[in-house]
Amino acid sequence: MSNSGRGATPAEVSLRVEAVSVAFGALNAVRQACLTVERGQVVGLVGPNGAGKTTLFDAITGHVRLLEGRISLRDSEMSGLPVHSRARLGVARTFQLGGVIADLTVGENIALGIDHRSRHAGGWAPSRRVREDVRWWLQSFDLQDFETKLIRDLSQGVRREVEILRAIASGAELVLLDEPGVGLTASEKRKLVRTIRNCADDGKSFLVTDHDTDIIFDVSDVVYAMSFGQIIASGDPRTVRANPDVIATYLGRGG
Amino acid sequence: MKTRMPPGTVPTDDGQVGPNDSAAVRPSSPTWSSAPRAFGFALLLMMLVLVLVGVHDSRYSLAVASVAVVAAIRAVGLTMLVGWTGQFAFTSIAFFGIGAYSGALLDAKVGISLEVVLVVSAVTGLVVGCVLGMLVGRLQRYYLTIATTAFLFIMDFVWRNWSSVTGAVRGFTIDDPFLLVLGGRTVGSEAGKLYISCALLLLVLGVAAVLRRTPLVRGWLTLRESPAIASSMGIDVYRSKVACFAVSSAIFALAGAWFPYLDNRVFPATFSFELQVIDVIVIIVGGLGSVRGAVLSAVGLTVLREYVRGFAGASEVIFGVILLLVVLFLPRGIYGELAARFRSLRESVL
Repeated sequence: MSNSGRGATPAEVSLRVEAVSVAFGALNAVRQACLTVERGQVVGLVGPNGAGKTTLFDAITGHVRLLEGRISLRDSEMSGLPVHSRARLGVARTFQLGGVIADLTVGENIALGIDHRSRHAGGWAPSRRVREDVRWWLQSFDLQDFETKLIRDLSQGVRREVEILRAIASGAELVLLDEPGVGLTASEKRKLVRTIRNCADDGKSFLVTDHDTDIIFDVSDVVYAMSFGQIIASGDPRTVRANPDVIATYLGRGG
Repeated sequence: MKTRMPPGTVPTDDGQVGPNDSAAVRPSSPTWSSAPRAFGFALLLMMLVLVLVGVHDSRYSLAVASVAVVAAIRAVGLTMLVGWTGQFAFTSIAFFGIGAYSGALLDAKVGISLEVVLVVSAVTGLVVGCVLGMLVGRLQRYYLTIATTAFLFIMDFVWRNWSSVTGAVRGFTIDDPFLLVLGGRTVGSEAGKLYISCALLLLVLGVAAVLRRTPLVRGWLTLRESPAIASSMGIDVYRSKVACFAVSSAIFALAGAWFPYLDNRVFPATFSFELQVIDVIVIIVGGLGSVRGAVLSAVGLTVLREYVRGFAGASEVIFGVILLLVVLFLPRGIYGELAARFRSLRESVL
């Protein structure tokens, strides 16, 4: 059911992570991780607390430095680039603790994404056009009623949606979602899964991690499982879910 | 999603759905939606000041009003730097001085119209602010505060000791300004000078209101919240900070270029660390990030400071107490608190 979005076209690699390691002092947070995300694919990342999921995200976006390995988007290597340059190549992310700006309105937060897109196109868009674009995006996510509301006055569910919409509106090709389900109700989670699937069908690529593994197994085309900084299993959701190593990890005996 | 495309929207080359980037489809005119409100507010404030000083009708109160309005201009600049961008940089007085000395020197040596003096000083502030921003833009938190305070002391040293240019401690005098827009007429009256002060405040408020709608300032507000989020939105955090230093410094320098005309002289004691601390208190009391709060608070505190000038040490005590009370009981600042009260009042009535 969730794999419906994959077309028959030959797979086009969006993100390629090759043998990436990240260390904090003596701690190897990520060890020799390899992973690919194809265009239009939703890739899930599961693993217990401290497995290195967020660190791998930070490595991809450039928030932490690599010890070794290569990261490339389409065919451009971006391992050495600063965060904003990677963002301009087409990597967007959402943050575990929420990355929307509380003192700005919903509209202005989306405008940040539009700004990003215009910067990429070589400058600033006039503010009226930005506002029209903002309205269009808000409508496509059914959020138009919130345009002038401050983020700080809104529920966790709306904030998450705004953050994801901002990432999509920024024109990014690859969107990393770090714990998008935190603080959401069951129905908000179902809506989240639908949103991600819709965007993937439109050609966006996603890398998603969440504590709620049901979301991941539900939304993903491919799932990678991490434990103690290493990728221990990968494949389609059912295979990974049934993998004995993965089960052992979640029962606390793994490693 | 593909079916919900508005007119003027086409799928981009790579098949992504999104608003069309070609400028031909939509007319490009910037919106100024918040500008009228800001201008209305400024006008109201100025009328209040004029009525107040009109009651007194003395040259002294007119001069105090001008000093207060100039303080408000600085407060707008500092709001951009500290309130919007979150850079705790103490640069307002150093650039106030740079604007004052560059403008007054230009006037004294060349004798040129006020408009030129103001533009040259603002550009000087912009350039020097850009350079300073490049030097300190990577510093965080209190390191930035210390570095910029050191810059203030360096400038103070220059004003006091480069006697051949700045006239050392005693400074030097300048003539009343003349304006090209008035056909070269000289403005010598306190009232005329107050009008010019207000016009400059209006100009700066207008600039702030227009800037507030641009990607530049959206970037500043994002980076105040979190540099990590800002950079992941493609914002070059360092360049964004440098731009903020440059813009705010230009505003400080503009205020500085005008200030010496109020009593026709410039001397180093004006550009003191004490005034810097007061500037910071002003924006905190007004409510960090609120331009209107900063303007109100600047005018209010400057007038208050003038009233207690006769009592030694009184202003330090009073300012300390006000700051403490505001931080403890009105964390959103005076304006933020008033606005919130007003909103809830209106909601409970309607």
